[in-house]
Amino acid sequence: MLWSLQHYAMDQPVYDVKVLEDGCRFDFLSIGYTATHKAILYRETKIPFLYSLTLAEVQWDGKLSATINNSNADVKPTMATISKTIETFTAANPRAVVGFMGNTDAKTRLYRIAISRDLDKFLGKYLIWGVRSDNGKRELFEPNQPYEYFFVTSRF
Amino acid sequence: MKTQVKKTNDFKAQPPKGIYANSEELGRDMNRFLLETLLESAYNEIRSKQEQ
Repeated sequence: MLWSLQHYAMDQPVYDVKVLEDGCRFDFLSIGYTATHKAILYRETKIPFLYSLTLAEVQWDGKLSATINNSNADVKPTMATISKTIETFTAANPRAVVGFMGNTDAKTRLYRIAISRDLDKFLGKYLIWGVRSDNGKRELFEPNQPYEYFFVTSRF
Repeated sequence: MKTQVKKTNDFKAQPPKGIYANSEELGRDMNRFLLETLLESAYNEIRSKQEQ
């Protein structure tokens, strides 16, 4: 079943995802005020093992929009679903370093809050870095800091 | 006498916007954004150390 909510280990509902493109794309139906087809993409950069993560909306014709409707009232399950796909992706690609940020300040803030909320649980499994927006420095993630970019990798 | 021109760093990596034909295209643009953000971060760190 593709389009439904389940409960993730962190006790948060997550959407069922359809795994596509050799495990580099995860599609799901975001259900808030409207039902929106979304995709989470992992793409390797020219730097080996460094991947970008992108959340996109899938349009009726299969094209992808990088502009996400933030007002669909399902931020928590969407963030939990992204977190679950990071777990799946890094389990399949243990050397992967995944970099991500929102394409708006509001979305980046949501990522920051989502990581902070479950930081204790994440730290057992992952190393997480943030790139500060005030001076551009990279450091191990700490809550309530002004990060604009995040990097996650599995602990070996 | 040579005058030294002070350049300003007005570069800001631009995130992907708009519609992409497929995940390959969008992924490529997000990768460009990620690498530019990393370069910008490194540049700012070097510059702030230099100015200290």
